Amino acid sequence: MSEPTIPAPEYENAAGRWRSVVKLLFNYNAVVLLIIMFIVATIISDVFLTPGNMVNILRQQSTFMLVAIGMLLVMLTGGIDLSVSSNVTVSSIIVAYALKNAGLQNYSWGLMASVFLAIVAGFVFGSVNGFFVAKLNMPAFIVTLAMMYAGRGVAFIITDANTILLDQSVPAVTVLVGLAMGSDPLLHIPYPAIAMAVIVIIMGVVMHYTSFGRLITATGSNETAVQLAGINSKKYKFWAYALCGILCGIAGVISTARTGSATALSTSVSYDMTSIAAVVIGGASLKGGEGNVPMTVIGVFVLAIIGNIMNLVSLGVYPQLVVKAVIIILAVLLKSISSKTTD
Amino acid sequence: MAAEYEYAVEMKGIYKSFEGVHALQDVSLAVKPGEIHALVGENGAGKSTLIKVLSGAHGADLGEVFVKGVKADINNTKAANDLGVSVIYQEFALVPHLSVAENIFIDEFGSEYVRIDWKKLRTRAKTALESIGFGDIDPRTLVRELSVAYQQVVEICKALTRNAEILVLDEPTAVLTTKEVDKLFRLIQNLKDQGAAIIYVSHRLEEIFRITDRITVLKDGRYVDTVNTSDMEPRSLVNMMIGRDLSSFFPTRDSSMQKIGDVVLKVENISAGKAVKDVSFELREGEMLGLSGLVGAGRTEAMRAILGIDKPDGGKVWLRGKEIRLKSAKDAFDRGIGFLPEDRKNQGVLLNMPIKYNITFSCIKKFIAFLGWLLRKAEDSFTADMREKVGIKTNNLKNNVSSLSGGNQQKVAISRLLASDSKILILDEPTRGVDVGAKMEIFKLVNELLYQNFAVLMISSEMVEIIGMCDRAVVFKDGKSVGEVGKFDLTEENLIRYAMGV
Repeated sequence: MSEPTIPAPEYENAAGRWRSVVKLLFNYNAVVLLIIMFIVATIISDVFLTPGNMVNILRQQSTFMLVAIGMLLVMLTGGIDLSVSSNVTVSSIIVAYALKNAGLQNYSWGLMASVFLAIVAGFVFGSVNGFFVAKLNMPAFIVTLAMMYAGRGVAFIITDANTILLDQSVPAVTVLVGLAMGSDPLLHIPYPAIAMAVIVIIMGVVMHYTSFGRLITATGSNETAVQLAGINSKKYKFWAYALCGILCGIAGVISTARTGSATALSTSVSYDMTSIAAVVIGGASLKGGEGNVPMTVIGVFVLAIIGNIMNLVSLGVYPQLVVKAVIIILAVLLKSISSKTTD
Repeated sequence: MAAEYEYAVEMKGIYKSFEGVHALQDVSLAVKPGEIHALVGENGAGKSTLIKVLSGAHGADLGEVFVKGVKADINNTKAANDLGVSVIYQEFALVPHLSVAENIFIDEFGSEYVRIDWKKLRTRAKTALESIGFGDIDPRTLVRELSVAYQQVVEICKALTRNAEILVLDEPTAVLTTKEVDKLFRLIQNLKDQGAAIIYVSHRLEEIFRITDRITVLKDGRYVDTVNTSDMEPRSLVNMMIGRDLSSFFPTRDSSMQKIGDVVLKVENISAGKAVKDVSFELREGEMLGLSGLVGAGRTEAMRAILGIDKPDGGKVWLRGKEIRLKSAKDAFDRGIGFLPEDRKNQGVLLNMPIKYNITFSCIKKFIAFLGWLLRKAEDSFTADMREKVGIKTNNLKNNVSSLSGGNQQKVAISRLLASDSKILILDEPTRGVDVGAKMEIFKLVNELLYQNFAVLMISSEMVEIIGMCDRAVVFKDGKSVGEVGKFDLTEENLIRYAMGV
């Protein structure tokens, strides 16, 4: 009948300590996974740990990382964004189109303006998702699925199904491509990786140290309770999609910069599934309210290293998919086991 | 039915407790074949728990159940069904998108039908419906297209096709019109004549006196008596249901420290949907007002409409003398009205977030600097103070709320209201699922708040609570505020008279 007593401290005895270590390992299994893979990769390939390969991974992952962080925001609210690939592609096309077809490359401010336009496009794209999901209470899966198709259509309409190939002798394009392929003179870290790191850190700080991050997570944790507590949860839901859109826009710019071209065909790059996988490996829940930026970063690198090592040992593309599937299932399985045993 | 046994069902010395709270203590119930037996008692008297033990939804801690004279082990609902016990709950176990025929024979799918013989299925359904006098229901109709009354008939029909001889009806008339009630009663009478044993759970005294043969009364989880309906009259039955010692359940309030002031919230003729028809009351500063009534009387719905969580159809609300129209929980919150929802786990707290965050999330504005930057130190010391003040028992405020007991979870939810400086508190069933010790602490806290001129409105289905804690109570019946009971008239008899319309 009486109030239950305060539970004893967790580290009371050896068994308890062991249990909490196991729990920690289960909860942060992505970190363990990353370390194991790093070691395995170093052993089976001489190339893996070379600076050149590391730089390569960072350069390749910058776009995926930004999209994954956007996906994390959306998934924290309990939603999903299937339209990220379309968004990235549309943004990448807009920056190329603005420079070349609209002729902005001929002006000194043209590059800035084009990049800005692309990011605004990403924002608008995400806001449309946010509007339907948050304000009109429509299911995220359906809304973003529709937007995925819409984005593809728009991409093909703008490019007329052709690749927009930028002329790299034009100064504005030279600068853009130079930024994507170049690296800082001191440590030789590629500029896109630096941009990625800056944005990731900003997002990490926003999610952990501001009320915005707190309330996005709270909304995903239990939207009814948040609403009844007098909080406009729709606002936070909307901004999760809108921010995801902005991050896709930036990713689009980087992707155009890297190749000096843009094509509607890149809508088939699986930013959507890869980023969902990364977020989930990082311990987020599809139901929302769970997940954070650092673990998502880990999730992205887990997938990146799998891909990289399998390329280094020349494993075909198709077996790679199977291996990725196994890793994803394994990570989520460990998490569901841990939540079952500890609850 | 031959009578080698006196009782179709007999429950003896049933005990059941939930996390230390005794829901049933030494409760007995015996129902004869061919009898309609009423089970009555206040909210929380243990009727539903007893029914759930009989239906196998809960296992009893102690006690025996005999079905048709044979000792029965009812461990799950299937075992109960196999013994011929069927419970018709208020929320039907029907699949709305399937037809009447499919619903009636739903348990046969997957076992008997490899290929469904639709014609045969419909004929059987038709026969079954005709046998209880409802041949006018087309077996092909989708259940969702039927009226609630007919859905109930389908549910009963479903039970009867499984040879249910012991039928439990839980508040069967709550959602029916008078005409439909007549129809249902004819059906029940009919089943009785065929020898079925019927347990009838209801709050409506008129119905109990109209159709039942005997009555078993429960009170506070204990058996009171079983009587013949014909020997009773409404007043004497009500007296059996109430009357008990209230002392030591509630903290004493120092009336010299409590100053009841002006009206802060005034509500007139609020109506909303089907559940709220005409609600008026006033809440004063420093006062604790109780909203009493039976479960389903529309109290929660009324408050939701008043606060703008649901859209009201009509009526007026004044806050401190100014007419207002609240549009959302946020709106109410911004004006200093804090709402504690009745469903703690799904609406009151964020179970999977830290206690600390739960306390501050609705008043997060207090803890932010430039650009939403969180002042974590200030938050830490604030929540630590709140833990002391409210008495949340935890060694770490970073733990998730799910790690706390029900009572402490509720204290966290109340802390959130206090943290956001609401001076008017609406507490909807604040002690539901809370053990006695924590209940006492919550009420002590409420007393403290009253001394500080908070206005507190409590919705409670437990009359003892209303009587023990409130300065005044408004009683709800069928979506209307039907009466007001002042401090000195606060007795269960008065409350129950209004609530049941005796």
